[in-house]
Amino acid sequence: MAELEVTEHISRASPGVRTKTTAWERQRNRLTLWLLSAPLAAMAVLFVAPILVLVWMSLGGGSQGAPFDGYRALLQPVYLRLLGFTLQLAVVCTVICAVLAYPIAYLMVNIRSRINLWLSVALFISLWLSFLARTFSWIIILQRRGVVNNFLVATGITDQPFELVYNKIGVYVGMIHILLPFMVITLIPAMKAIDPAYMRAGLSLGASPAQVFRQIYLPLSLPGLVAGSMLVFTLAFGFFITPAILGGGRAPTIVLAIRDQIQQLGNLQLAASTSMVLLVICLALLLAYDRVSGVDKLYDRGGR
Amino acid sequence: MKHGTSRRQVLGGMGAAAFAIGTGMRMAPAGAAGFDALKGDGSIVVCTWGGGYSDSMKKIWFEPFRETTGIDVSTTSIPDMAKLEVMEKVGNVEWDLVDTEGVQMQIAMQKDLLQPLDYDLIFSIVPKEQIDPKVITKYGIGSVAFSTVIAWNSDLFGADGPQTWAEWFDTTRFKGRRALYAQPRPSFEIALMAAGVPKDKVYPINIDDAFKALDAIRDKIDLWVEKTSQWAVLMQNGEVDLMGSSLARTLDEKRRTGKIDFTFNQSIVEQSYWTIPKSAPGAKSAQKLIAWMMRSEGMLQYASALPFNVANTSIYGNIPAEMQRQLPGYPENAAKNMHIDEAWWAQNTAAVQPRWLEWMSKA
Repeated sequence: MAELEVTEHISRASPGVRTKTTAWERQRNRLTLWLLSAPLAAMAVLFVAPILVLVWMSLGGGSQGAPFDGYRALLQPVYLRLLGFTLQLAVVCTVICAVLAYPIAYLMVNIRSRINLWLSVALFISLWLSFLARTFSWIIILQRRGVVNNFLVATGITDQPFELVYNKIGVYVGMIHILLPFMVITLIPAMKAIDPAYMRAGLSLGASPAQVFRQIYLPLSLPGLVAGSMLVFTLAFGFFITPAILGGGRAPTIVLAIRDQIQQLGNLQLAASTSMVLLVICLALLLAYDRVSGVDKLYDRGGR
Repeated sequence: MKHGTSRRQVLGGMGAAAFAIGTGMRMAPAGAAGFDALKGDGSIVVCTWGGGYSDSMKKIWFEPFRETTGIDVSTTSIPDMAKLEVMEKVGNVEWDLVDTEGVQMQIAMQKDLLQPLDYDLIFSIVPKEQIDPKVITKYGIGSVAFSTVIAWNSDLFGADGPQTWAEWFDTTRFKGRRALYAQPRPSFEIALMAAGVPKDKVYPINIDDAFKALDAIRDKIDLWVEKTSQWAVLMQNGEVDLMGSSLARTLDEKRRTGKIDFTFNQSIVEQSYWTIPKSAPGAKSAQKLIAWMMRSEGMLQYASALPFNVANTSIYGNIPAEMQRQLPGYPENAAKNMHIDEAWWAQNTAAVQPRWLEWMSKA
């Protein structure tokens, strides 16, 4: 295994040198292609084709509208404002998730104890529960006569219950709770792949623990953090039910507008155009990330 | 519509309890003479709204229909005119009978997605005078209508809750937290009635006036409800004290806890219709099923099970007095309500919806 990696590294290191393809390599290539054919076909049918249909519909395919009617309608201030708010919601959720998830993942990777087990149990149970059930649970906890407010009023900390739900606070609490596990489970493999020898080496060479963390651990875990952020951002950007219910009508998102475009207006072209805009924004982020740190690093073995 | 779906996904408890009353009146099915015109074979697909709502339909209408006529009925959810349009375009319509909301039917008519109903067949089975003439239209006949009612926390206000939408917004007389649906329909109607427009003068709505009326009440609304399933949570925990809520959920809470009361005054009724898609493969059988469902026997059971208005109004004479008070279609109650003008909404939704979202996003 180790030997194989070494040879790989050597061949990567000298791309200019063309080695002769042996029969073994040709056979291996054929096998790779053959193995890939099923997933590629699935990707084409399940992902590429529907997106092409969406593009076609957004340009007026299947409806009476002129090709750019849908995109032109999107320039109305209301859609721009909803888009802006949804972007802000997604960015804030992503940042808070990153800040909260990082120490959790760090503990889960670096501490060997029962706590570790309980952390995993808590994480996965919350991941398995339905979005809707978790959303309603937050209402029970945060409402005016909910657990939190009852406690605060009973202990005399406040005499009027706080408005914790049916506004933006409720939306952020609910969304972060739902999205946090995705960030943690993306960070864990990235952190597990960091060789502790690097930190020991840094420390033995006289760096302070803070320096070791900042200059070694953090950069090595960065691909995981970025991958997790992209995952959380994409999910948050398309979030529907949680902001709709916990927001109490005060946090309308662009996804809500898409729902109305389909169900109330029956305007598939406009809905497809709006969806395309969301897709393009997410793709643009992916490309930006590629420029900064390389998409292939997402699948790399944790910065080794 | 999601909004509509959930509004109808009536909690099983209430439906089941009331249904038990209904089944006592169950008629003898198979073998009955006079249904030869309805006999057939094969199967049809009914697209309706799921949950307890369609379970009751299965028990009361679809299963006896199969026993009598030999036509099998399966159900699916949920009616969506965008989907129907696509199905018509690609020539593969999966639905034979659709339980469309009034506005949906109007949209489908504009897009030429429906076929006319066979009223000769219907009236050969059911006397014409039994059916509410308001719900007889070329492309659809009334399935049910659901209501949004003025409701309040009776711990706070006893039986003397607000009797009009204007009183509902009176913050000096009724101190409490208020909730309405986060949709322009029926918020427009509510805001206009609160501004003093009589219930029969609401249409045609001037959209600017409606938003002005909404501006006047905006600060009095503490929260906007997105899904009907929220009402139970909101009512049970005293999160809100004054509601413009679905009758089904309100009645359910009233029966369960006794802490909620409501009035039929100025209640807002939204009618749904049975419609048949233009290229429905089982259209013939679907026409037969419609005729079957219009009969007073099934209607009585259905109206006893769920608090919706039904098309056959001949049934109300046979309903026990204490139940009459809870049925929105009972003539005395029906006189107090106002009906959503689905044609107005079908024409104006495209103009209203973006403005509504804009108005909401400023809140």
